[in-house]
Amino acid sequence: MAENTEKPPDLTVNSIDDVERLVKELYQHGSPKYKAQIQMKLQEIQRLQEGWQMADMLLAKEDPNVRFFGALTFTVKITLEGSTLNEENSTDLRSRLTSWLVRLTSMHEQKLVIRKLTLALAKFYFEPTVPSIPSVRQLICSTSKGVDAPPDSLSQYPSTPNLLNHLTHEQVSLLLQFCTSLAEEAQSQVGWRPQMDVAKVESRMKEYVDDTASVLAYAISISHPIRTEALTCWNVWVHFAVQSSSWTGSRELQLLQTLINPIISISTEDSDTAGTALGFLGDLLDDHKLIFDNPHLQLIREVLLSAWASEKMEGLHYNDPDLAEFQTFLLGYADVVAHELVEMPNDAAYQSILGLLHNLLKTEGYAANEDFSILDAQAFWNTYVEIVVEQYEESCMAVGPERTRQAEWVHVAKMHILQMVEEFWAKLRFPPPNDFKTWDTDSKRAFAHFRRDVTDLLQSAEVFLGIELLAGLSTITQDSISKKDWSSVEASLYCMNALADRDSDEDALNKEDELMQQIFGSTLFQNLAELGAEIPPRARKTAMDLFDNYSPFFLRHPEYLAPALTFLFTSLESPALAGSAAKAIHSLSSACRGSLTTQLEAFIQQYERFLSWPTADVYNKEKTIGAIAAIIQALPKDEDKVVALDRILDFVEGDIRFALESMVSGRIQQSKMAAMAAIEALASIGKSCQAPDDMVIDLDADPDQPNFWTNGLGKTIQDRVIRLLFNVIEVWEEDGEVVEQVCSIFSTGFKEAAPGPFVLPAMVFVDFFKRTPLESPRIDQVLSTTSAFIQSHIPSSTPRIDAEAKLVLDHLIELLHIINTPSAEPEAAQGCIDAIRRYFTRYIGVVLQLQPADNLAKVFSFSIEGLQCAETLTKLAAVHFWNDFLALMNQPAEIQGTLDQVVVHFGPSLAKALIQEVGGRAVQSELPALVGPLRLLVTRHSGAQRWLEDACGDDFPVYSLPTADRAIFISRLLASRTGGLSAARLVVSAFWSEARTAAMKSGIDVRKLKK
Amino acid sequence: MSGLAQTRLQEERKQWRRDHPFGFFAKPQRNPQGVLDLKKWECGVPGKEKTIWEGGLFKLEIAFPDEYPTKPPKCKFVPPLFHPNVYPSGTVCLSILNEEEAWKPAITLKEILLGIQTLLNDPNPDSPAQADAYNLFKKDKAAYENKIKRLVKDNPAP
Repeated sequence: MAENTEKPPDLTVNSIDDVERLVKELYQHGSPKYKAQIQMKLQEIQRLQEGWQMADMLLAKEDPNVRFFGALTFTVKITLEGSTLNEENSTDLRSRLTSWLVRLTSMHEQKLVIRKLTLALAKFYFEPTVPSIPSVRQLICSTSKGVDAPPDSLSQYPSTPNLLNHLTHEQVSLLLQFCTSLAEEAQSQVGWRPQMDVAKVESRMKEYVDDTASVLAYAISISHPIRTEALTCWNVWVHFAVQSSSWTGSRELQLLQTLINPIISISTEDSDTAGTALGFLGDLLDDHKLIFDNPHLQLIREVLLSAWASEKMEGLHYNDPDLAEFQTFLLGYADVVAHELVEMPNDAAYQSILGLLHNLLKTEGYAANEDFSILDAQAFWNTYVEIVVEQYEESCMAVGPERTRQAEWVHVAKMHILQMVEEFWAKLRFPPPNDFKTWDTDSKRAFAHFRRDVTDLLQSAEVFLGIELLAGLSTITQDSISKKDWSSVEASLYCMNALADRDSDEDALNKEDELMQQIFGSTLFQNLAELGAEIPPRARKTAMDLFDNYSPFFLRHPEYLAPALTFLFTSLESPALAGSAAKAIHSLSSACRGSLTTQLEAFIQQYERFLSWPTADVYNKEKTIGAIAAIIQALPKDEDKVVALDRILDFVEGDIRFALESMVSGRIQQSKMAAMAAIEALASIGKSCQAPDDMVIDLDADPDQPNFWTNGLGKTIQDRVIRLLFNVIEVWEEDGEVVEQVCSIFSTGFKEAAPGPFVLPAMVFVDFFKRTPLESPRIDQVLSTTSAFIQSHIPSSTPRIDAEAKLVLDHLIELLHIINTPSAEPEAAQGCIDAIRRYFTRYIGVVLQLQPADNLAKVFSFSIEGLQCAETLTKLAAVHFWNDFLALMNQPAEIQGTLDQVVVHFGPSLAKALIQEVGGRAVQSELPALVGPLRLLVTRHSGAQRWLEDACGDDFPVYSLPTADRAIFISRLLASRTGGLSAARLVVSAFWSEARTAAMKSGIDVRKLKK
Repeated sequence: MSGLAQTRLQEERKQWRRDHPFGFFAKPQRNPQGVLDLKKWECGVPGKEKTIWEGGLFKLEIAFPDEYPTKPPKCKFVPPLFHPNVYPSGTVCLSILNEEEAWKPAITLKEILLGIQTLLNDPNPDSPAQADAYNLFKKDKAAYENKIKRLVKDNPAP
């Protein structure tokens, strides 16, 4: 709005008054646009030759903003033109700047102006053409005398400490500002100057340090707020010094180090300066601990052990004003002596320091929200635990007296770490749910982040403490359970979850089981199930995680399963917990299926009840019914399995019926949901019916009823599964998600080594596949399932399925004809090529007998085209196809004869396709795979050399490498036959690079080249 | 393992402890004797906020070769993840993890894990690594997203 009414600035400049007017306008409130215009104009003037005089004139003005601009102009001029200064005009400039500083200070100038002017003077002294003089002393003498003191007169003045004694605080402040500017400017100069000039900067700083140290020592010794300025100045100097290589171990660095003791003393005073001192010392301890020698550390230790420190630590609250600085100091020191804190258990002082470090964990306030100090303290405790673990691992190998010595610290370290765990545990507790609801997302996330990091710490601690850690947590948990303190119960269960999944020996496992029996045998789950809503969902959720994490326990102690499962089934009713409960029921039942067979009836009844609850969605139903199926799988008698499966298939059938009814009455969405529920439940039952990975399969066993599932009593189940599958397929075959689940149901059977309810007759899959058109929404999935189908009948232990394989192949050929060329349908092409590849070797005869012969030719020509497809996955499928085909050897004579004919017939076009790919068309990541068939071609087939030479002939891509290079490639490739795959890879990789370089030189994008 | 790799991995660990992005975890594994193996790390990458991956936490193993950091580490989702740029074995296909592409010894563990997090919701269609996820991503975005939502539900962040 202001912009509309405000007058544009008058940018005409004829005199210094105009400049002054513009500067004043710049500092007045106004439109940003006009300010920018003024600023540009002023910068333009600063750059003029007259800029130097203008700076002087502006410094003489009344308005401090104008004077600040004058100081700024000096800085700008020196930055831009400093390198052009000569001896004469540099003397003049030094004199002017010094005079201004002295005069303005005597007139009580504002700090901002002085600061800017000291920066101009500091910049001046670092100009390489400016002669070196003792700059700090020069300013001290000038300040003392009230006018600029020429460099050649400096020796006539009293000593620096003497002069300082007679200066006002304001004058000392000026000197501190200047020294600070020197160090800041030096830091900045080393950032961009060439190495040689950096050495000069470092050396000039050495010339200035004696006087600077005198100024600092004087300023630190007086009780006045300028001490804070002195600390800032010292801090900048130290940071510069520790980063300068030529200062390492120097006398000059020692001068700065001599100030450490007085600064440590300041840190314990009751003043604002104390906080600054603590903060600077803490940061230095953390980043540059080497500047502290043993006496310094001794003094710091005394400070931390003093009554002053104890007072600080009493009742720490997150909003204590100087907590941050004190903590930085304490943690900085602790980091330096971390090893001693571990290794010297009898040193009372170190033990007291550890006491302080424990106290940091007791600060009031929620972690990462109110109490941020805990995050830094956590970093220390991480280090502590890490050192303990390292030392412990070493000590396990120690012998004799060394071992005894180590036993002492182990005992003390255990005590500290157990205490630390308890302190962190207290910090893990959630606020009451209603308070937590008011937290914003970031706060909630930060808290979760903190909790997660604590689990890392616990896991490290566990390496050292072993079972003692779990024992400690178990005690806390039981105590919290008895008090019904649910936030504490949650926090301790959270910790126990973090400690699950350990590798334990038998002894430790027995102890762990004893501890877990106390938890799982307590009233915990009974309370959780009965008290329901009284307990925060968070606590119930964390308790639920125990089942996932400690499922092996239940395997060893099934007697504890009943209360756990009752709690889980109860939780299924709660919308907030149903998903986790369903998952836990599934994982627990899968793991402990053998122990739950007597509970099967109760499970089915619970499931029926659950179906009437609003939480019975697709996901939860799928998980829960899968749990029941896992128990059924563990029933010892197949007859019992049939009865039970029949019952749970009723539920699936119910959903399908509902889906069909909904469809008829036009409720499409509902219909789809029910169909998905049915098919996902069926898939889940199928997966659970698979033999568990750890089940021992007795290969010599002669089952009484080998055909139980295909022709015996079990056939009723298979028939029912097949009917349900086809019920769904017939109605929803155009629905991708349904087709995908159907595929996964078939796959469950393909993975099985022994007969079972989902190991369906081969013809069932064939029927499904044959009715799948190219347009099917998941044709690629159906094709990959087809691959799995053929693959599952490859082992010689499985019956041959030549007739079914032939039917499948016929449909694959039909698809190839419809696709015509791989690039038209790359995904389907990939699936077809891959499925046909699976016929090698057991069903190669089925492929070679393809009629008419055109169909056989189509298979191979299609796969050669696949090699040149732009889609990587299709190309790789074709590469693997040819690799496996060329690798076929020692087949019966008639088959081998046909194979050889195929190679002779397709060899030239195969060689051409491969050569074009390795000749630059392929992307680099495809090369290793391409080497396979190329190498097999040259090692196994006598005609290969000629085919490759032809492929490298005139048809070679137009960007072409010289003919000679191509010939060299072929001879190298042939030579690599004896050198193994890696030798061939090197040859191919080099050829590809040469070809790509040639293409780039010709400005051709190889990927766009025609085949 | 070379001294260089050892030093670098210790430094990575220190830096990670000092500062790591929200929701991630990364720690060297311990062998059955409890000894830390700096060459094998167990990590977790959370789904990025405001994407369909939000709320999920996906576990991966990082194996550092002896030549690290000259050679990049190998990152593998365990179990293998449904994603266009993750091989059926679980190995992640990402240019910064490829020695011949964009790997540089200066790339930190934090950058790798953040890179993988970005890859989750921003797959690279030029480097397909598994057919299932790649084809669905290309042909049926809605179904692809449903799959991811399901994946998030099965792998919830704590």
